[in-house]
Amino acid sequence: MSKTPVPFSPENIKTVASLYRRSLRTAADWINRRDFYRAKAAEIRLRFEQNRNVSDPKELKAIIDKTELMLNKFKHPDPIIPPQRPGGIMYDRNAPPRYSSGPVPFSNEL
Amino acid sequence: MLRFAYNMRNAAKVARTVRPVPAARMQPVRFMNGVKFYSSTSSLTKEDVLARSISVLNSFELKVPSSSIGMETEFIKDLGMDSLDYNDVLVALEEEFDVVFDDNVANEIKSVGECVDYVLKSYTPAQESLDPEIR
Repeated sequence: MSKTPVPFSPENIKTVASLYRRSLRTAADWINRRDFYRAKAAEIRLRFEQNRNVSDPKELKAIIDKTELMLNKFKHPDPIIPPQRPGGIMYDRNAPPRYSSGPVPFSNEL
Repeated sequence: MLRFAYNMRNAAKVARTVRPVPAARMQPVRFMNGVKFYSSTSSLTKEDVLARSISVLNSFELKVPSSSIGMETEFIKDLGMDSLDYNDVLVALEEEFDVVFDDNVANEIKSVGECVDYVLKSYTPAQESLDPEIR
């Protein structure tokens, strides 16, 4: 799926950070209770910490691929998107006009 | 009959005292002057965002007191976080400000100031995002 990663390289750190953020967002999508979410986040953190010191590229690749698979498996069908962001409910909507002053006084006089 | 005459006289007096207002000087009736029910401009200022970011950071274990956190504070160097810690912070900030740190942005962010700048840049107040021409 992905290239063979180089352990402890900056690129690998970025990849793993991206996976970690996506995991946390997926957890937040599914869980609507704060305390349950915290427990899940701690579990996710623990799972990442367990593989912190993996130095074998093949093993690392297997772990990253497994994480990707799990992220795809648990992907939320209707994830939380901020309203103004692309995909959010207010994105590109034309809101009704607003005005800060009243209409211009009407007059027939010249 | 007498009361009617009395009323008529009063009405005439009122008509004499109240002069008709010329139409051009008529002002529209304003409802609750000075009170706005919408966000007129970007309601987020840099200081706001920084203060809220620091309050989010306060919920994490920090090596330095939160009073010393400023725009130049770096997550990894100054706050003693590792990469996972600081991604925790980014996700918490996303929830706080309703923004999304895209992957290529989040990987480049190193300091609190960069976070604040990104939040300010990607924050769109509800009505300002619209093109006034389309309205």
